Amino acid sequence: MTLQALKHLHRFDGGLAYFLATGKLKISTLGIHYQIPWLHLFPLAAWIISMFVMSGIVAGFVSVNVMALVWLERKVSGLIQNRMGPMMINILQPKMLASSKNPVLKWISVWFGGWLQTMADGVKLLLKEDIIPVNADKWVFITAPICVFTASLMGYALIPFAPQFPIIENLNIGFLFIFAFGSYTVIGILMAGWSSNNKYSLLGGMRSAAQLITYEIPMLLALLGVVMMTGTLKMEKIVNFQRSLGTHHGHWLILYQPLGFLIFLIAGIAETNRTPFDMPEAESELVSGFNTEYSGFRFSLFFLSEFSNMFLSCALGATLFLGGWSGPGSSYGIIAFLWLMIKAYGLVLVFMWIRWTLPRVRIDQMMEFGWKVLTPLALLNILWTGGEILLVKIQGYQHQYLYIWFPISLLVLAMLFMPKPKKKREHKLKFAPFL
Amino acid sequence: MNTTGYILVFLAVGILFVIGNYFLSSLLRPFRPNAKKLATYECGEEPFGTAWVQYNVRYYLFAVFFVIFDVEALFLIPWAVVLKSLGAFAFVEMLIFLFLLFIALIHVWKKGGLKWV
Repeated sequence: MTLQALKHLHRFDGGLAYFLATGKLKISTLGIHYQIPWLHLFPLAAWIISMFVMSGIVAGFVSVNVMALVWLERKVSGLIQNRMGPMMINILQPKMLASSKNPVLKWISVWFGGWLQTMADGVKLLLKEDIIPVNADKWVFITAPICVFTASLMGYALIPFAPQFPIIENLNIGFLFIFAFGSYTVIGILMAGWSSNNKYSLLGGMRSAAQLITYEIPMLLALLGVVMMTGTLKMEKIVNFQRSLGTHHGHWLILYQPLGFLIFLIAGIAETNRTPFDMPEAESELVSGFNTEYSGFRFSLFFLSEFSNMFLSCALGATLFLGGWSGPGSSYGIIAFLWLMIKAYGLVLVFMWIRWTLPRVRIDQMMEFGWKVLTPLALLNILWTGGEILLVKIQGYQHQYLYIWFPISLLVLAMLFMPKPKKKREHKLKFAPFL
Repeated sequence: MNTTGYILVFLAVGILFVIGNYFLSSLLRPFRPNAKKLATYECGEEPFGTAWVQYNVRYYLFAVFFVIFDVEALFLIPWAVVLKSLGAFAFVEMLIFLFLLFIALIHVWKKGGLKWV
Protein backbone atom coordinates (compact mmCIF):
# COMPACT_ATOMS: atom_id res chain seq x y z
CA MET A 1 0.00 0.00 0.00
CA THR A 2 1.46 3.30 -1.06
CA LEU A 3 1.32 6.60 0.73
CA GLN A 4 -0.59 8.08 -2.19
CA ALA A 5 -3.44 5.71 -1.47
CA LEU A 6 -3.30 6.59 2.21
CA LYS A 7 -4.02 10.22 1.44
CA HIS A 8 -7.55 9.41 0.38
CA LEU A 9 -8.30 6.99 3.15
CA HIS A 10 -10.06 8.83 5.90
CA ARG A 11 -11.10 12.35 5.27
CA PHE A 12 -13.62 12.48 8.01
CA ASP A 13 -11.50 12.36 11.14
CA GLY A 14 -10.10 15.85 10.72
CA GLY A 15 -6.87 14.60 9.17
CA LEU A 16 -5.77 12.60 12.20
CA ALA A 17 -5.29 9.31 10.38
CA TYR A 18 -3.65 11.18 7.55
CA PHE A 19 -1.31 12.83 10.02
CA LEU A 20 -0.41 9.54 11.60
CA ALA A 21 0.04 7.78 8.30
CA THR A 22 2.10 10.36 6.51
CA GLY A 23 3.48 12.46 9.29
CA LYS A 24 1.97 15.58 7.78
CA LEU A 25 -0.51 17.67 9.62
CA LYS A 26 -3.02 18.82 7.08
CA ILE A 27 -5.30 21.63 8.05
CA SER A 28 -5.92 23.25 4.75
CA THR A 29 -7.70 26.34 6.05
CA LEU A 30 -4.72 27.29 8.15
CA GLY A 31 -2.18 26.14 5.64
CA ILE A 32 -0.16 24.17 8.16
CA HIS A 33 2.00 21.42 6.79
CA TYR A 34 3.92 19.83 9.58
CA GLN A 35 5.92 16.70 8.99
CA ILE A 36 7.29 14.19 11.44
CA PRO A 37 10.62 13.45 9.80
CA TRP A 38 10.71 9.72 10.39
CA LEU A 39 7.20 8.32 10.19
CA HIS A 40 6.82 8.24 6.41
CA LEU A 41 9.85 5.97 6.23
CA PHE A 42 7.83 3.19 7.80
CA PRO A 43 4.60 3.00 5.83
CA LEU A 44 3.53 -0.29 7.38
CA ALA A 45 4.00 1.04 10.89
CA ALA A 46 2.24 4.24 9.94
CA TRP A 47 -0.64 2.28 8.45
CA ILE A 48 -0.99 0.08 11.50
CA ILE A 49 -0.90 3.08 13.86
CA SER A 50 -3.48 4.94 11.83
CA MET A 51 -5.75 1.90 11.73
CA PHE A 52 -5.43 1.44 15.46
CA VAL A 53 -6.29 5.08 16.05
CA MET A 54 -9.26 4.90 13.70
CA SER A 55 -10.66 1.78 15.32
CA GLY A 56 -10.00 3.29 18.72
CA ILE A 57 -12.06 6.29 17.69
CA VAL A 58 -14.89 3.98 16.63
CA ALA A 59 -14.72 2.05 19.91
CA GLY A 60 -14.82 5.31 21.84
CA PHE A 61 -17.71 6.52 19.72
CA VAL A 62 -19.60 3.30 20.44
CA SER A 63 -19.19 3.60 24.20
CA VAL A 64 -20.11 7.28 24.37
CA ASN A 65 -23.04 6.70 22.05
CA VAL A 66 -24.27 3.82 24.18
CA MET A 67 -24.15 6.06 27.24
CA ALA A 68 -26.29 8.60 25.43
CA LEU A 69 -28.64 5.84 24.31
CA VAL A 70 -29.13 4.44 27.80
CA TRP A 71 -29.81 7.91 29.15
CA LEU A 72 -32.24 8.57 26.30
CA GLU A 73 -33.98 5.26 26.89
CA ARG A 74 -34.57 6.11 30.53
CA LYS A 75 -35.74 9.62 29.69
CA VAL A 76 -38.11 8.35 26.97
CA SER A 77 -39.49 5.69 29.27
CA GLY A 78 -40.07 8.42 31.83
CA LEU A 79 -41.85 10.51 29.23
CA ILE A 80 -44.11 7.62 28.25
CA GLN A 81 -44.86 6.64 31.83
CA ASN A 82 -45.55 10.19 32.94
CA ARG A 83 -42.51 10.62 35.14
CA MET A 84 -39.21 12.40 34.82
CA GLY A 85 -36.60 9.68 34.55
CA PRO A 86 -33.11 10.18 36.01
CA MET A 87 -32.84 13.63 37.59
CA MET A 88 -30.16 13.44 40.25
CA ILE A 89 -26.74 13.41 38.63
CA ASN A 90 -26.50 16.73 36.86
CA ILE A 91 -23.45 18.25 38.45
CA LEU A 92 -22.77 20.78 35.74
CA GLN A 93 -26.27 22.12 35.70
CA PRO A 94 -26.97 25.25 37.72
CA LYS A 95 -29.54 24.93 40.49
CA MET A 96 -31.39 28.00 39.30
CA LEU A 97 -32.57 26.15 36.18
CA ALA A 98 -34.85 23.84 38.13
CA SER A 99 -36.46 26.61 40.12
CA SER A 100 -36.87 28.91 37.15
CA LYS A 101 -40.29 29.98 35.97
CA ASN A 102 -39.20 30.29 32.34
CA PRO A 103 -40.78 27.35 30.47
CA VAL A 104 -37.78 26.88 28.19
CA LEU A 105 -35.34 26.71 31.11
CA LYS A 106 -37.77 24.45 32.93
CA TRP A 107 -37.92 22.15 29.90
CA ILE A 108 -34.14 22.06 29.72
CA SER A 109 -33.84 21.27 33.40
CA VAL A 110 -36.34 18.40 33.13
CA TRP A 111 -34.94 16.95 29.92
CA PHE A 112 -31.27 17.28 30.65
CA GLY A 113 -31.51 16.58 34.34
CA GLY A 114 -29.48 13.50 35.18
CA TRP A 115 -27.51 13.61 31.98
CA LEU A 116 -24.51 12.04 33.72
CA GLN A 117 -26.54 9.17 35.15
CA THR A 118 -25.17 6.58 32.72
CA MET A 119 -21.62 7.67 33.43
CA ALA A 120 -22.24 7.15 37.14
CA ASP A 121 -23.75 3.73 36.45
CA GLY A 122 -20.77 2.79 34.31
CA VAL A 123 -18.31 3.80 37.01
CA LYS A 124 -20.35 1.88 39.55
CA LEU A 125 -20.27 -1.26 37.40
CA LEU A 126 -16.54 -0.84 36.90
CA LEU A 127 -16.06 -0.80 40.67
CA LYS A 128 -18.25 -3.82 41.38
CA GLU A 129 -16.80 -7.13 42.43
CA ASP A 130 -16.46 -9.65 39.62
CA ILE A 131 -18.07 -12.95 40.54
CA ILE A 132 -17.50 -16.21 38.67
CA PRO A 133 -19.68 -18.95 40.16
CA VAL A 134 -17.86 -22.09 41.27
CA ASN A 135 -20.02 -24.32 39.13
CA ALA A 136 -19.55 -22.27 35.99
CA ASP A 137 -17.39 -23.27 33.08
CA LYS A 138 -14.80 -20.62 33.79
CA TRP A 139 -13.12 -19.92 30.45
CA VAL A 140 -16.30 -20.06 28.40
CA PHE A 141 -17.86 -17.78 31.00
CA ILE A 142 -15.04 -15.28 30.58
CA THR A 143 -14.94 -15.40 26.77
CA ALA A 144 -18.68 -14.98 26.19
CA PRO A 145 -18.98 -11.21 26.87
CA ILE A 146 -15.87 -10.50 24.79
CA CYS A 147 -17.42 -12.45 21.94
CA VAL A 148 -20.72 -10.60 22.14
CA PHE A 149 -19.22 -7.14 22.47
CA THR A 150 -16.58 -7.54 19.78
CA ALA A 151 -19.19 -8.88 17.37
CA SER A 152 -21.37 -5.83 17.89
CA LEU A 153 -18.36 -3.53 17.54
CA MET A 154 -17.30 -5.11 14.25
CA GLY A 155 -20.55 -4.08 12.60
CA TYR A 156 -19.63 -0.41 12.99
CA ALA A 157 -16.69 -0.89 10.64
CA LEU A 158 -19.13 -1.20 7.76
CA ILE A 159 -21.52 1.68 8.43
CA PRO A 160 -20.78 4.64 6.16
CA PHE A 161 -21.02 7.45 8.70
CA ALA A 162 -19.94 10.00 6.11
CA PRO A 163 -18.78 9.95 2.50
CA GLN A 164 -15.66 7.79 2.23
CA PHE A 165 -15.75 7.07 5.90
CA PRO A 166 -16.49 3.36 6.40
CA ILE A 167 -13.44 1.93 8.09
CA ILE A 168 -13.46 -1.09 5.82
CA GLU A 169 -14.16 0.49 2.48
CA ASN A 170 -13.58 -2.04 -0.22
CA LEU A 171 -15.40 -5.01 1.21
CA ASN A 172 -17.42 -6.65 -1.55
CA ILE A 173 -19.77 -8.53 0.72
CA GLY A 174 -20.94 -5.25 2.26
CA PHE A 175 -23.64 -5.59 4.85
CA LEU A 176 -23.45 -9.38 4.79
CA PHE A 177 -20.39 -8.79 6.97
CA ILE A 178 -22.63 -7.33 9.66
CA PHE A 179 -24.82 -10.41 9.51
CA ALA A 180 -21.80 -12.67 9.65
CA PHE A 181 -20.63 -11.02 12.84
CA GLY A 182 -24.19 -10.86 14.11
CA SER A 183 -24.07 -14.64 14.18
CA TYR A 184 -21.20 -14.43 16.63
CA THR A 185 -23.59 -12.67 18.98
CA VAL A 186 -25.73 -15.81 18.95
CA ILE A 187 -22.72 -17.95 19.77
CA GLY A 188 -21.67 -15.58 22.55
CA ILE A 189 -25.12 -15.61 24.10
CA LEU A 190 -25.29 -19.39 23.89
CA MET A 191 -21.85 -19.57 25.52
CA ALA A 192 -22.98 -17.25 28.31
CA GLY A 193 -26.18 -19.19 28.89
CA TRP A 194 -24.56 -22.58 28.86
CA SER A 195 -21.44 -21.80 30.85
CA SER A 196 -23.27 -20.14 33.75
CA ASN A 197 -24.65 -23.51 34.82
CA ASN A 198 -27.84 -21.80 35.85
CA LYS A 199 -31.28 -22.88 34.69
CA TYR A 200 -32.49 -19.37 33.97
CA SER A 201 -29.38 -18.59 32.00
CA LEU A 202 -29.63 -21.78 29.99
CA LEU A 203 -33.27 -21.12 29.16
CA GLY A 204 -32.53 -17.50 28.27
CA GLY A 205 -29.58 -18.46 26.10
CA MET A 206 -31.50 -21.12 24.20
CA ARG A 207 -34.49 -18.89 23.70
CA SER A 208 -32.30 -16.07 22.56
CA ALA A 209 -30.51 -18.26 20.04
CA ALA A 210 -33.82 -19.59 18.69
CA GLN A 211 -35.19 -16.06 18.39
CA LEU A 212 -32.10 -14.62 16.74
CA ILE A 213 -31.91 -17.33 14.10
CA THR A 214 -35.64 -17.14 13.43
CA TYR A 215 -35.62 -13.42 12.77
CA GLU A 216 -32.37 -13.38 10.86
CA ILE A 217 -34.07 -15.00 7.86
CA PRO A 218 -36.83 -12.42 7.27
CA MET A 219 -34.28 -9.67 7.88
CA LEU A 220 -31.91 -11.01 5.22
CA LEU A 221 -34.76 -11.68 2.81
CA ALA A 222 -36.17 -8.18 3.35
CA LEU A 223 -32.79 -6.64 2.60
CA LEU A 224 -32.63 -8.67 -0.61
CA GLY A 225 -35.19 -6.29 -2.11
CA VAL A 226 -32.72 -3.47 -1.57
CA VAL A 227 -29.93 -5.51 -3.14
CA MET A 228 -32.09 -6.32 -6.14
CA MET A 229 -32.84 -2.66 -6.72
CA THR A 230 -29.32 -1.36 -6.21
CA GLY A 231 -27.44 -4.32 -7.63
CA THR A 232 -24.74 -4.11 -4.99
CA LEU A 233 -24.04 -5.11 -1.43
CA LYS A 234 -21.72 -2.23 -0.62
CA MET A 235 -23.26 0.23 1.80
CA GLU A 236 -21.51 3.22 0.22
CA LYS A 237 -22.86 2.34 -3.21
CA ILE A 238 -26.35 1.84 -1.83
CA VAL A 239 -26.27 5.36 -0.37
CA ASN A 240 -25.06 6.75 -3.68
CA PHE A 241 -27.80 4.86 -5.50
CA GLN A 242 -30.39 6.53 -3.30
CA ARG A 243 -28.85 9.91 -4.02
CA SER A 244 -29.08 9.24 -7.75
CA LEU A 245 -32.77 8.30 -7.64
CA GLY A 246 -35.44 10.84 -8.49
CA THR A 247 -34.78 14.53 -8.05
CA HIS A 248 -31.51 16.18 -7.13
CA HIS A 249 -31.61 15.31 -3.44
CA GLY A 250 -32.47 11.71 -4.26
CA HIS A 251 -35.18 9.41 -3.03
CA TRP A 252 -35.02 7.19 -0.03
CA LEU A 253 -35.42 3.50 -0.68
CA ILE A 254 -38.22 3.30 1.87
CA LEU A 255 -40.41 4.84 -0.83
CA TYR A 256 -39.83 1.83 -3.04
CA GLN A 257 -39.50 -0.82 -0.32
CA PRO A 258 -42.03 0.01 2.42
CA LEU A 259 -42.84 -3.64 3.01
CA GLY A 260 -39.18 -4.51 3.21
CA PHE A 261 -38.61 -1.69 5.67
CA LEU A 262 -41.48 -2.85 7.86
CA ILE A 263 -40.14 -6.40 7.96
CA PHE A 264 -36.65 -5.06 8.64
CA LEU A 265 -37.95 -2.94 11.52
CA ILE A 266 -39.82 -5.81 13.19
CA ALA A 267 -36.97 -8.24 12.67
CA GLY A 268 -34.53 -5.62 13.96
CA ILE A 269 -36.49 -5.25 17.17
CA ALA A 270 -36.51 -9.01 17.58
CA GLU A 271 -32.80 -9.29 16.76
CA THR A 272 -31.89 -6.82 19.47
CA ASN A 273 -34.07 -8.61 22.06
CA ARG A 274 -36.27 -5.61 22.72
CA THR A 275 -39.58 -5.63 24.39
CA PRO A 276 -42.33 -7.06 22.34
CA PHE A 277 -39.83 -9.84 21.68
CA ASP A 278 -37.72 -9.86 24.83
CA MET A 279 -38.36 -13.38 26.08
CA PRO A 280 -34.65 -14.15 26.39
CA GLU A 281 -34.25 -11.38 28.94
CA ALA A 282 -37.69 -11.46 30.47
CA GLU A 283 -36.95 -9.99 33.88
CA SER A 284 -40.07 -11.33 35.48
CA GLU A 285 -39.69 -14.90 34.24
CA LEU A 286 -36.01 -15.56 33.72
CA VAL A 287 -34.34 -12.97 35.93
CA SER A 288 -32.81 -11.40 32.83
CA GLY A 289 -31.89 -14.66 31.17
CA PHE A 290 -28.45 -15.42 29.89
CA ASN A 291 -26.71 -12.74 31.97
CA THR A 292 -28.14 -13.71 35.35
CA GLU A 293 -24.79 -14.88 36.71
CA TYR A 294 -22.79 -11.98 35.32
CA SER A 295 -21.83 -9.10 37.52
CA GLY A 296 -19.77 -5.95 37.41
CA PHE A 297 -17.88 -5.19 34.27
CA ARG A 298 -18.85 -8.39 32.48
CA PHE A 299 -22.51 -7.55 32.91
CA SER A 300 -21.89 -4.05 31.63
CA LEU A 301 -20.35 -5.56 28.50
CA PHE A 302 -23.60 -7.38 27.78
CA PHE A 303 -25.53 -4.20 28.46
CA LEU A 304 -23.22 -2.21 26.23
CA SER A 305 -23.45 -4.65 23.36
CA GLU A 306 -27.23 -4.80 23.62
CA PHE A 307 -27.51 -1.07 23.13
CA SER A 308 -24.77 -0.90 20.54
CA ASN A 309 -26.54 -3.66 18.61
CA MET A 310 -29.70 -1.61 18.72
CA PHE A 311 -27.93 1.44 17.36
CA LEU A 312 -26.21 -0.73 14.77
CA SER A 313 -29.46 -2.04 13.37
CA CYS A 314 -30.92 1.48 13.41
CA ALA A 315 -27.90 2.82 11.55
CA LEU A 316 -28.19 -0.07 9.11
CA GLY A 317 -31.86 0.72 8.53
CA ALA A 318 -31.09 4.42 8.15
CA THR A 319 -28.36 3.67 5.64
CA LEU A 320 -30.25 1.15 3.55
CA PHE A 321 -33.74 2.63 3.62
CA LEU A 322 -33.50 6.26 4.71
CA GLY A 323 -30.73 7.57 2.50
CA GLY A 324 -27.82 7.17 4.92
CA TRP A 325 -25.66 10.26 5.20
CA SER A 326 -27.25 11.99 2.23
CA GLY A 327 -29.12 15.20 2.82
CA PRO A 328 -28.77 18.93 2.21
CA GLY A 329 -25.18 19.99 2.79
CA SER A 330 -23.84 16.46 3.01
CA SER A 331 -20.77 17.26 0.97
CA TYR A 332 -19.21 18.32 4.28
CA GLY A 333 -18.17 15.29 6.28
CA ILE A 334 -19.50 16.52 9.60
CA ILE A 335 -22.93 17.46 8.23
CA ALA A 336 -23.23 14.10 6.50
CA PHE A 337 -22.40 12.46 9.82
CA LEU A 338 -25.07 14.55 11.53
CA TRP A 339 -27.63 13.49 8.93
CA LEU A 340 -26.93 9.84 9.54
CA MET A 341 -27.09 10.36 13.30
CA ILE A 342 -30.42 12.18 13.02
CA LYS A 343 -31.93 9.40 10.93
CA ALA A 344 -30.52 6.65 13.11
CA TYR A 345 -31.70 8.37 16.29
CA GLY A 346 -35.14 8.76 14.74
CA LEU A 347 -35.27 4.99 14.30
CA VAL A 348 -33.91 4.55 17.84
CA LEU A 349 -36.79 6.66 19.13
CA VAL A 350 -39.23 4.41 17.25
CA PHE A 351 -37.60 1.37 18.85
CA MET A 352 -37.96 2.94 22.31
CA TRP A 353 -41.51 4.01 21.67
CA ILE A 354 -42.40 0.42 20.72
CA ARG A 355 -40.52 -0.99 23.67
CA TRP A 356 -42.30 1.12 26.26
CA THR A 357 -45.72 0.84 24.65
CA LEU A 358 -46.25 -2.82 23.82
CA PRO A 359 -46.38 -5.71 26.27
CA ARG A 360 -44.26 -8.82 25.86
CA VAL A 361 -45.65 -11.50 23.54
CA ARG A 362 -45.54 -15.21 24.32
CA ILE A 363 -42.67 -17.23 22.93
CA ASP A 364 -44.84 -19.44 20.72
CA GLN A 365 -46.54 -16.35 19.30
CA MET A 366 -43.19 -14.82 18.55
CA MET A 367 -41.71 -17.88 16.86
CA GLU A 368 -44.81 -18.50 14.80
CA PHE A 369 -45.00 -14.86 13.80
CA GLY A 370 -41.44 -15.02 12.53
CA TRP A 371 -41.90 -18.20 10.53
CA LYS A 372 -45.47 -17.97 9.37
CA VAL A 373 -45.93 -14.26 8.74
CA LEU A 374 -42.63 -12.48 8.26
CA THR A 375 -40.84 -15.10 6.15
CA PRO A 376 -43.66 -15.50 3.56
CA LEU A 377 -44.07 -11.71 3.49
CA ALA A 378 -40.36 -11.30 2.82
CA LEU A 379 -40.57 -13.86 0.00
CA LEU A 380 -43.51 -11.91 -1.41
CA ASN A 381 -41.46 -8.73 -1.26
CA ILE A 382 -38.66 -10.39 -3.24
CA LEU A 383 -41.15 -11.63 -5.82
CA TRP A 384 -42.72 -8.25 -6.29
CA THR A 385 -39.45 -6.36 -6.45
CA GLY A 386 -38.13 -8.79 -9.05
CA GLY A 387 -41.29 -8.49 -11.12
CA GLU A 388 -41.10 -4.73 -11.01
CA ILE A 389 -37.46 -4.69 -12.01
CA LEU A 390 -38.32 -6.85 -15.00
CA LEU A 391 -41.25 -4.63 -15.92
CA VAL A 392 -39.04 -1.57 -15.76
CA LYS A 393 -36.39 -3.36 -17.79
CA ILE A 394 -38.61 -4.95 -20.46
CA GLN A 395 -41.34 -2.38 -20.85
CA GLY A 396 -38.93 0.50 -20.44
CA TYR A 397 -40.95 2.14 -17.71
CA GLN A 398 -39.16 5.16 -16.38
CA HIS A 399 -41.78 5.65 -13.73
CA GLN A 400 -39.97 4.49 -10.64
CA TYR A 401 -42.93 5.00 -8.36
CA LEU A 402 -44.22 1.71 -9.74
CA TYR A 403 -42.39 0.05 -6.89
CA ILE A 404 -44.57 1.75 -4.36
CA TRP A 405 -47.95 0.68 -5.69
CA PHE A 406 -48.02 -2.88 -4.57
CA PRO A 407 -47.05 -2.52 -0.90
CA ILE A 408 -49.43 0.39 -0.48
CA SER A 409 -52.29 -1.50 -2.07
CA LEU A 410 -51.39 -4.44 0.15
CA LEU A 411 -51.57 -2.23 3.22
CA VAL A 412 -54.91 -0.77 2.13
CA LEU A 413 -56.29 -4.26 1.52
CA ALA A 414 -55.03 -5.43 4.90
CA MET A 415 -56.69 -2.45 6.57
CA LEU A 416 -59.95 -3.11 4.71
CA PHE A 417 -60.09 -6.77 5.66
CA MET A 418 -58.76 -6.38 9.17
CA PRO A 419 -61.24 -7.85 11.64
CA LYS A 420 -62.63 -5.12 13.79
CA PRO A 421 -62.21 -5.35 17.55
CA LYS A 422 -65.39 -6.70 19.06
CA LYS A 423 -65.59 -4.86 22.34
CA LYS A 424 -64.84 -1.27 23.01
CA ARG A 425 -62.80 -0.49 26.07
CA GLU A 426 -64.98 0.90 28.78
CA HIS A 427 -62.49 3.12 30.50
CA LYS A 428 -60.21 5.17 28.39
CA LEU A 429 -56.98 6.06 30.12
CA LYS A 430 -55.87 9.59 29.66
CA PHE A 431 -52.64 9.54 27.70
CA ALA A 432 -50.72 12.68 28.43
CA PRO A 433 -46.99 12.03 28.31
CA PHE A 434 -45.97 15.61 27.64
CA LEU A 435 -47.24 16.99 30.90
CA MET B 1 -3.73 -7.48 2.86
CA ASN B 2 -5.73 -4.31 2.63
CA THR B 3 -9.28 -5.25 3.60
CA THR B 4 -8.36 -8.31 5.61
CA GLY B 5 -5.80 -6.23 7.47
CA TYR B 6 -8.47 -3.69 8.36
CA ILE B 7 -10.74 -6.40 9.65
CA LEU B 8 -7.98 -7.98 11.71
CA VAL B 9 -6.87 -4.67 13.21
CA PHE B 10 -10.44 -3.76 14.02
CA LEU B 11 -11.01 -7.13 15.65
CA ALA B 12 -7.81 -6.72 17.64
CA VAL B 13 -8.88 -3.26 18.81
CA GLY B 14 -12.29 -4.62 19.84
CA ILE B 15 -10.74 -7.37 21.93
CA LEU B 16 -8.06 -5.07 23.35
CA PHE B 17 -10.73 -2.53 24.29
CA VAL B 18 -12.59 -5.14 26.33
CA ILE B 19 -9.48 -6.61 27.92
CA GLY B 20 -8.06 -3.17 28.69
CA ASN B 21 -11.24 -2.06 30.39
CA TYR B 22 -11.38 -5.33 32.26
CA PHE B 23 -7.82 -4.80 33.45
CA LEU B 24 -8.68 -1.26 34.53
CA SER B 25 -11.64 -2.59 36.45
CA SER B 26 -9.51 -5.29 38.08
CA LEU B 27 -7.29 -2.56 39.53
CA LEU B 28 -10.24 -0.80 41.11
CA ARG B 29 -12.72 -3.41 42.25
CA PRO B 30 -12.73 -5.40 45.46
CA PHE B 31 -12.20 -9.15 45.60
CA ARG B 32 -13.78 -10.78 48.64
CA PRO B 33 -15.34 -14.08 47.55
CA ASN B 34 -17.19 -16.43 49.86
CA ALA B 35 -19.11 -19.64 49.34
CA LYS B 36 -22.55 -18.02 49.37
CA LYS B 37 -21.49 -15.42 46.84
CA LEU B 38 -20.00 -17.95 44.45
CA ALA B 39 -23.03 -20.23 44.51
CA THR B 40 -25.32 -20.44 41.51
CA TYR B 41 -28.29 -18.12 41.73
CA GLU B 42 -31.64 -19.81 42.04
CA CYS B 43 -33.98 -17.27 43.59
CA GLY B 44 -32.49 -17.68 47.05
CA GLU B 45 -32.89 -21.44 47.19
CA GLU B 46 -30.05 -23.92 47.34
CA PRO B 47 -29.19 -24.82 43.71
CA PHE B 48 -30.96 -28.00 42.74
CA GLY B 49 -28.79 -30.18 40.53
CA THR B 50 -26.91 -28.97 37.48
CA ALA B 51 -28.26 -26.98 34.59
CA TRP B 52 -26.29 -28.98 32.07
CA VAL B 53 -29.11 -31.26 31.10
CA GLN B 54 -30.64 -32.40 27.84
CA TYR B 55 -32.99 -29.74 26.65
CA ASN B 56 -35.93 -29.77 24.31
CA VAL B 57 -35.39 -31.14 20.81
CA ARG B 58 -37.44 -28.42 19.14
CA TYR B 59 -34.55 -25.97 19.43
CA TYR B 60 -32.63 -28.38 17.22
CA LEU B 61 -35.53 -28.55 14.76
CA PHE B 62 -35.65 -24.78 14.46
CA ALA B 63 -31.90 -24.68 13.98
CA VAL B 64 -32.28 -27.09 11.05
CA PHE B 65 -35.00 -24.92 9.51
CA PHE B 66 -32.75 -21.93 9.97
CA VAL B 67 -29.90 -23.63 8.13
CA ILE B 68 -32.21 -24.50 5.22
CA PHE B 69 -33.50 -20.96 4.85
CA ASP B 70 -30.15 -19.35 5.44
CA VAL B 71 -28.64 -21.38 2.62
CA GLU B 72 -31.59 -20.29 0.51
CA ALA B 73 -30.83 -16.65 1.32
CA LEU B 74 -27.18 -17.22 0.45
CA PHE B 75 -28.25 -18.58 -2.94
CA LEU B 76 -30.48 -15.57 -3.43
CA ILE B 77 -27.85 -12.92 -2.72
CA PRO B 78 -25.59 -13.40 -5.79
CA TRP B 79 -28.71 -13.69 -7.89
CA ALA B 80 -30.07 -10.44 -6.48
CA VAL B 81 -26.83 -8.59 -7.21
CA VAL B 82 -26.84 -9.43 -10.92
CA LEU B 83 -30.59 -9.66 -11.50
CA LYS B 84 -30.76 -6.39 -13.43
CA SER B 85 -28.33 -7.60 -16.06
CA LEU B 86 -29.61 -11.18 -16.28
CA GLY B 87 -33.25 -10.38 -16.91
CA ALA B 88 -36.33 -12.55 -17.19
CA PHE B 89 -34.75 -15.98 -17.50
CA ALA B 90 -32.90 -15.74 -14.19
CA PHE B 91 -35.98 -14.38 -12.52
CA VAL B 92 -38.14 -17.32 -13.64
CA GLU B 93 -35.44 -19.77 -12.61
CA MET B 94 -35.31 -18.27 -9.13
CA LEU B 95 -39.09 -18.22 -8.98
CA ILE B 96 -39.11 -21.99 -9.44
CA PHE B 97 -36.51 -22.36 -6.70
CA LEU B 98 -38.44 -20.08 -4.36
CA PHE B 99 -41.66 -21.92 -5.16
CA LEU B 100 -40.11 -25.26 -4.22
CA LEU B 101 -38.85 -23.82 -0.95
CA PHE B 102 -42.19 -22.23 -0.26
CA ILE B 103 -43.84 -25.64 -0.78
CA ALA B 104 -41.34 -27.00 1.74
CA LEU B 105 -42.27 -24.26 4.20
CA ILE B 106 -45.97 -25.08 3.76
CA HIS B 107 -45.18 -28.77 4.27
CA VAL B 108 -43.32 -28.10 7.49
CA TRP B 109 -46.14 -25.81 8.57
CA LYS B 110 -48.81 -28.48 7.91
CA LYS B 111 -46.74 -31.14 9.66
CA GLY B 112 -46.72 -28.94 12.73
CA GLY B 113 -42.98 -28.37 12.68
CA LEU B 114 -43.34 -24.62 13.14
CA LYS B 115 -45.48 -25.03 16.20
CA TRP B 116 -43.82 -24.02 19.44
CA VAL B 117 -45.65 -26.05 22.03
